[in-house]
Amino acid sequence: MIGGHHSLRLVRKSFHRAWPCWALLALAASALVYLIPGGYVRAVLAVPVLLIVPGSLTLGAILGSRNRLPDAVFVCFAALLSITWWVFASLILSGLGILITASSTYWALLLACAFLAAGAQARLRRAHPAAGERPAATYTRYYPMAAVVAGASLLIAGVFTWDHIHHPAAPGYTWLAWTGPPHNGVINIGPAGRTLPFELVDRQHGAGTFRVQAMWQGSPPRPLAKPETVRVGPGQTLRAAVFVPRVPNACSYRIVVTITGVGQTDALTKRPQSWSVNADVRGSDPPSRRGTPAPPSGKCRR
Amino acid sequence: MTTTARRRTPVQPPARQQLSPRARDINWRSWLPGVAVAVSLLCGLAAVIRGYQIAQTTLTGEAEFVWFWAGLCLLVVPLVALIARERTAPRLRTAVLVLYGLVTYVPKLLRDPSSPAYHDEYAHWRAAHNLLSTGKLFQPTPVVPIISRYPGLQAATAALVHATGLTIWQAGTLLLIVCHVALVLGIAALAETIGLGRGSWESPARMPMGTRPACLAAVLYGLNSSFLYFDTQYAYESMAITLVVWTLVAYGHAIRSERRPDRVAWSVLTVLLSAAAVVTHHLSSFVLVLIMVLISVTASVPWLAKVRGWQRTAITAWTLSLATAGMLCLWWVFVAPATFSYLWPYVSQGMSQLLQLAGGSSSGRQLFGASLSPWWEQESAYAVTVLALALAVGGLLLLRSRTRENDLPAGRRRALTAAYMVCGLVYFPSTVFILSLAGAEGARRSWAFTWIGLCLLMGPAAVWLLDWTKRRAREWSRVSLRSGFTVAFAVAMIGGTAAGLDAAYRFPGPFLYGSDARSVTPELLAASQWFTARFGTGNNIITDRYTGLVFASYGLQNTATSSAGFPVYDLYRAQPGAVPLAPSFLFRDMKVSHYTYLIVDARMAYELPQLGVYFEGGEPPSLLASPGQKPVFYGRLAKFSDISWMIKVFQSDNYSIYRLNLADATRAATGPLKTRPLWRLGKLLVSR
Repeated sequence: MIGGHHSLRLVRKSFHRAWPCWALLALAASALVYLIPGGYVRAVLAVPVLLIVPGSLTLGAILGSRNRLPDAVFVCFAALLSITWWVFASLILSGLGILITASSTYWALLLACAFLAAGAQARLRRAHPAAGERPAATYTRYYPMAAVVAGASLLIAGVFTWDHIHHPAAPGYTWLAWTGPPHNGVINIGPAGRTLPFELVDRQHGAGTFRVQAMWQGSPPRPLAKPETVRVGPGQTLRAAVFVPRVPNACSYRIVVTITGVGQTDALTKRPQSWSVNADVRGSDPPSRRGTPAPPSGKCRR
Repeated sequence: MTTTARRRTPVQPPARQQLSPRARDINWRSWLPGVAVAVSLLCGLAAVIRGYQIAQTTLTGEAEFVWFWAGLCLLVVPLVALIARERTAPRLRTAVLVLYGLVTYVPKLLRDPSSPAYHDEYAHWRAAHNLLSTGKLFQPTPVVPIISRYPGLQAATAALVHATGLTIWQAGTLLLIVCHVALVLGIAALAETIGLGRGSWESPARMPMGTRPACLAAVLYGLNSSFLYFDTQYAYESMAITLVVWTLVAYGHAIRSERRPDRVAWSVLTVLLSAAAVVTHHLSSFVLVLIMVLISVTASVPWLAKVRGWQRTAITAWTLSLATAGMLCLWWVFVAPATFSYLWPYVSQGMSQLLQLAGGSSSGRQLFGASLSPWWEQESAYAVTVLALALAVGGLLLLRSRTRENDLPAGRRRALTAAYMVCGLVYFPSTVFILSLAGAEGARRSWAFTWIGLCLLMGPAAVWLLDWTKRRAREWSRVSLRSGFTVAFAVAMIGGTAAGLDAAYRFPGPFLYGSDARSVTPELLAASQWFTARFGTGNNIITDRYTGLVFASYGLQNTATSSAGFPVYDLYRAQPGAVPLAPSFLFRDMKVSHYTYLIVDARMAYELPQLGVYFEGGEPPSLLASPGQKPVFYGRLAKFSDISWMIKVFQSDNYSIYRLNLADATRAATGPLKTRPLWRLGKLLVSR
């Protein structure tokens, strides 16, 4: 037991005499955490090293042992200086035109810390032989550490509880949209006509009945297809399409697909809830003066 | 002592049976406060969660506020009592202060643990995403373009994401928890740097921190309106304020160092930390320069600072202040030249509105006008100023008596104390700005900084009050006075928080139109996901402020910033059938800048925004109808389906997405569609 104490004392002594080198080694070894998949375990292993080492080396290199700080002040300075080094590493990499990635950040920090460790070690050697040693620790020194553990546990418990308690169901919604390849302008309808697909996604909490209509927009609008009534279950998606027949000339026309919820009222307008999308279509024939059964008014929108 | 000697006299742990019954009783009693605090913390946490749970189901009520504040009092008050107790050992007090820092992060953490909720959080999320996806700093960021020029927070977040594999939000939260705890400890460290609670000013800093006045000052700092929510959000100011405080700690050490090597070392630390503040946040680094200059001035006034070697102190102070100011200027000139134009409107408009208010030509801003807070929260907001004033006056009287008793002789300590006193007293005149629309935001933001000085003034006064209470002869008098202080503290905590952010920001809840923090719905997220999946990322889109938050962040789109030079609100405001729909220069600019999509929230036509704006800043006040009137967009949003150059590609319950075919500005100006319908039948193909 006493021999164990003795060896512990030796380890502690050697650590105090060369702590910058040990800290640098810890940072270098932190590369091993990249072998672990990203997540909480990796964070628990990497964050203490990343948060303390660059900053404490900076303090060691700049202040040396003369300005020994209270533990809490030292840790706060170390943490903030480490964060500062993360920022500076990114700025330096950016200035050098190097992409900021996990590996480039790691190497930049390691390089900066190597210089800082050299400085800290040199200051440690110049100082009194006993300067690196800290006074014997009493258990009260670990109070802040215990507070960190207690506070972090409380935060984790809070988040865990929040995630697992009952929350009100999110309001449902429905949407209608064109599917298939996006069209950036007027859609050309070939001689055989064209099918334009669309979908109705229902994320309401209950099943709904919908009336689907397709119209030629205008004043007054004309039907493009015979309306259909469909029933869509909660969380289901209705995939549908509208077949647009051959358009007689090169004029463009607007078609509108409208879906109206049967028995559903829009909370804003107090009218039946409906969703619509539209598209401009155009035939490939030249414009005709005499026109087809219902000719356009003679004005083509090209 | 040699090892051999130690072997001869091994230290035996005291056996339990050797303790006398009284000692055992004392031992048991020493655990009681700890157990009571633990139980209180757990109950407090449960109550805060219950408050938030109730808030989720009601637009506004009192129950959520009662539960929340009861919970927060249970979380905070026992810790404050431990800190204020005279017999608490310094190290234990420091530990309790650490716990206080962590516990005061609970409200923001539970507000939305898994995703951004506030306006700036979305912007910073996008900035961090841009950095991680491109590997480059200074990438353009929509929502708040200026943040791309201050990459401190996103660079630190990216480093954490790289190292840990956590998500941006998780890494950012972790980073800010560290910053928040460091902020609390930083105030205590700053208080000790100016000698608060230290018997001897020149004593070495080797004592463990945790003096009573310093820790109480840190606790009182927590009463400022930004502490619980604003400075805990994932935004650059939350990180920068911690850097500012610790820069001031290092600066204080540099000033008070007698030996040259120490002075140089602390100066280097000051420069390092201030450089980090400069690249992180504009306003914080500007305020840092102001505080440093103030300290330099007081360090140069003989009546305050004259002591042996005071010129050296003044030179150190001025050199560091100028170095920080120089770094700030260089950054503003070469990296972030838009900073001035970003900040100036807030200052100039605030000043002009105040002048109008003073001249009687303006009625000013109605305090808590659209607030969802209950009356007692609003009344408490006034109480915090009164309490701060009372404690500040007490602090000033204490300083006066100490100066008269020569307890605070001329020197560095007096100079530093005077500087922080002036900084703190700025809080009181700044409260006037809360009456002007433009100045209110700036005033609120300044409090996080002015309270640094104010709490250093209030800390000793609070200690004096507690000691005065202790000297009361009668038990009931002591108990009632301490109860009174506890109530005053709780009221100040409630009021300070209520004065900062509206309840819609602080509490989760059902959808509230025109509120950044409650505008995000599953419907909006689905619309954004659909848009990104169909049209990809990086599209230039026109939309309102609240829809744009999600499209510009998670959706990775580029949203337009409205202004008088780019009045996108005119598109929405135009009457149906109006030709042209908006000024021709707008179409030209939209075409040149490749704006290809317009997103419309139908609720614009029916509801008034809670924040008082539909778009980002710069929209004309005429857009906002008076309460009770119909919004200016009423009956004007359905017109887009009839516009010849707009194609409606998506519609959900509230959102419509239009593709803009701005082939040329002339065509854009043609307005509504004028064609006759075709008379041909197709077919609906519905899969059942």
